[in-house]
Amino acid sequence: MFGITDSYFFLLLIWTMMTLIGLVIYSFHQKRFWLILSPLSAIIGSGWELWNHPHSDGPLNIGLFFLFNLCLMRLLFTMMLNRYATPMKVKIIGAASMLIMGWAYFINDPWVFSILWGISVIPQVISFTPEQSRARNIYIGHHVLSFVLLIVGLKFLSSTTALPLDLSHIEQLTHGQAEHILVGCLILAAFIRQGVFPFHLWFKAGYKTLPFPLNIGLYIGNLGFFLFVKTIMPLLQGAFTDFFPYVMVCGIVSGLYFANMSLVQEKIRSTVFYVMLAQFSILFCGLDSASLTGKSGVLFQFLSLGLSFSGLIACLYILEWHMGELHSRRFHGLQHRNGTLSIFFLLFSLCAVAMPLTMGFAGEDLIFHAVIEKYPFVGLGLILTACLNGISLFKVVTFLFRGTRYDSRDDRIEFGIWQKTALGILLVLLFGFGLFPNLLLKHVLSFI
Amino acid sequence: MSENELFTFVLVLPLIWLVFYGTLLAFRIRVGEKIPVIGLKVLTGILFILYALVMKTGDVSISFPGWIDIPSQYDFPLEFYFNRTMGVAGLGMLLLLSVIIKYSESYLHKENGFHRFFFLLSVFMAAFPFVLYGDNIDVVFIGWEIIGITSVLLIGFYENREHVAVNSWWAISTYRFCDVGLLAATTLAHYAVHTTNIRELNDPAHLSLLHPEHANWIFFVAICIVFASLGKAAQLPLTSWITRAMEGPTPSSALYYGALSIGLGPLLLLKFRGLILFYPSVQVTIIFIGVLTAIYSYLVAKTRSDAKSILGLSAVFEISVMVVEVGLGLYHWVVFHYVANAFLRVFQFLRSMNSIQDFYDNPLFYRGAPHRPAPTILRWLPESWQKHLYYRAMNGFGLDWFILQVLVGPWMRFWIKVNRFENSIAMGDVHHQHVPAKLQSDLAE
Repeated sequence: MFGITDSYFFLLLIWTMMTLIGLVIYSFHQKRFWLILSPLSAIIGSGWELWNHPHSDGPLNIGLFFLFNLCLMRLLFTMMLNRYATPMKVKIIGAASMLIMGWAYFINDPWVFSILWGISVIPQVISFTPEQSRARNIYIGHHVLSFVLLIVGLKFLSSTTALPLDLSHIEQLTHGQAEHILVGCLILAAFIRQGVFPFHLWFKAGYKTLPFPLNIGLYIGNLGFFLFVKTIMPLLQGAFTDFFPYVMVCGIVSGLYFANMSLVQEKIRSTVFYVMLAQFSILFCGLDSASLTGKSGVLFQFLSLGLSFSGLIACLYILEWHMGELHSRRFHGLQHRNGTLSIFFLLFSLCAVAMPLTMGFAGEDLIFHAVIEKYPFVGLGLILTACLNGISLFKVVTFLFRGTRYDSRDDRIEFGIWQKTALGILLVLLFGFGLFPNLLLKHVLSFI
Repeated sequence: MSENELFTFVLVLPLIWLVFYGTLLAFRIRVGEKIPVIGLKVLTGILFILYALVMKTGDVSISFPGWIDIPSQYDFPLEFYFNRTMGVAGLGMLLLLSVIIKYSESYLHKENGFHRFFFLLSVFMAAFPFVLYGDNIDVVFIGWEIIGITSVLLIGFYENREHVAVNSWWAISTYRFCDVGLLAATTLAHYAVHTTNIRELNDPAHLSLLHPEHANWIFFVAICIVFASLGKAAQLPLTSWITRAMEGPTPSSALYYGALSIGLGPLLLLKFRGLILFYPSVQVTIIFIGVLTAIYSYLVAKTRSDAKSILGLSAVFEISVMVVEVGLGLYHWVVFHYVANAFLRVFQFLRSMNSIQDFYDNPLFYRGAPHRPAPTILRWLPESWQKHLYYRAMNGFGLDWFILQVLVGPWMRFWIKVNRFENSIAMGDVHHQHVPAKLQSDLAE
């Protein structure tokens, strides 16, 4: 159905049912376990598939990789979130977004994919308040443009091929002027969706105005990056190699732009999100190297970024829920009474900027080497981006946890066993695969 | 036991201790103050014996290939090389560490961050051999970066002081900026000559023959290495972080900025001596920077009124001399100088808190208020020049002003304007009332 193979269809069906059943039972019993059930089932299912995959069968469906990543992050966020902080409406929206994106990862039919691409942003759109009309318009404008470009690209590409178009077998297209423009449309659609410079304003509008739990959903699906990996990369490697330098330039310019912008943000939330955008931009450069090293580095780093930013944003979420929106105009002095949280925050910051012996270090090392083999100066730009991101995140740590607190409000933050367990798991994964990267790398290679 | 196994133990034992101690702290197992102190003392003792045994055998090389491995495409081996020159530096580190552990035991007794300090010290102990004995730039980078992070966390040890936080941020900005050099050197070397092995890179003539099309890139690798060493060694124009780094506990200031961490700059240059010697322009640059920094730190130290700043700047002076020694090719002097300077500075730093007593209460020292006349060479200058020089030195020759107002300021102002422009597009004129989320939920209840 929709180009989904039977085994994956079965997996997705069970996962969807688990999610729905879990939500219904949760609405009555309010036990966190019922929310965890859904991502946990998907992780077990996709993990089983990955573990039992013989290398002789060729590469695995990349959708499985993205589903695994999405559900891992979802599981950890569900463990982290305070049930009083997230109303039922937000939980339903989050689950719906996750289901939409999960299905989109496996669908090969371009039209159904486009529809899911479009409706996956609706939960955020309906959450803007009437006063935030400007931000909402920016948000909608970008996504409508991205949707139109995707439809145009796919529609006309399908008219140029004799066979029915399939997202996973698109690389047979021949090189022509019309096709060139259409591939350009697809790249632009992916860039807008992923918030690559200068198409990142929707992201800014979203994270500055939406409630924090919904903010998390802005980037978590990474459908733009998914489209790039699954469909656009084979095209570029086939008949459209002349796009590579342009995409590389977009990646590096974005990285440097976001890294510099992160230095001047006043809101802690903004700094973290800009650093995240900058780190994700590096991935495009890695993909453009079109080598096995680069691609495996990108997937490895994608997982690493997902895990480390999940932890970082989850910590920030806990802080903002208690303290309100946090700024770097003054010191907040939170370390004194929240020692454990400050250690977690610091460690996730270090993981996010690829400290040695973490997963990010291995991922970035592979990407840098792959990129510099092809474009030495772009590689140097990437190094500078990573350096600036480190400075920005350390600034965040400094302003949040250092200094003296001059506020009479209670600054002890509830940080229970669920939160500690979730963040502990994340850290074990980040440092474990950082110390022994080959354990993960050999599985990542089966997707390439 | 073979020398390879002994050397492996030298590298692995601090890591095992680190994991053990970290696990105890992570699970909040009551460890008291004795366990880290005794543990580190025992570890230092064992390592001392192992070092002595390895040094007896001479050069040892070990490699763990395929730490990050993509079959037939990419291999990141963990390569280490032990020689007697670096062995002496390692032994010096152990002796100093044992002094610091003993001193800190009482200095930080019942202090809030007691375990934090000893944990960071353990991290330093595990990371230092990576820099000393790493045989490829990637491995050196691992230790280099981790030492930088521990250094910054120790500067910000007293977390409730705001200027401490600002100063630690200044230090990490300098470190990260210079780490670009080391990372760039790694990747450029990989690109140009397909190796990051330090012993191979120290033979640039051979590499140029093997890769004639990329011979020019090897020069840039040398430049990047010099740039990376400037930050840690506090050489001009990146000297001003050193006085800011004195905010941490005295034992850590002694270990990092008096002795070991600051000395990593010349040690890095020492490791790449073959590469640096090959390019006379790089040699001249190093000598020039070293001389300039030596003059700068000497003059500024003369005007400081606090003991730790004077000692920090004096350490920079010695490091500058070491940098000049590397530039002149006096390699054995550098190691001797490094170890001798480290011992002297650690003694002076640890003694610095007693300086008031030393000068005023001790009849052996007391000669009235200490008066430091201007050095002879400066007394030759006209008096107005002397005053002018003194005033400039008091301000650190405007180095902070230059960095903040000339280098960083315009750049930041540009990005602030861009940010405002972005905000006006994305947000319009909406000003949001930020009510804390918890307050909202409390009100709702």
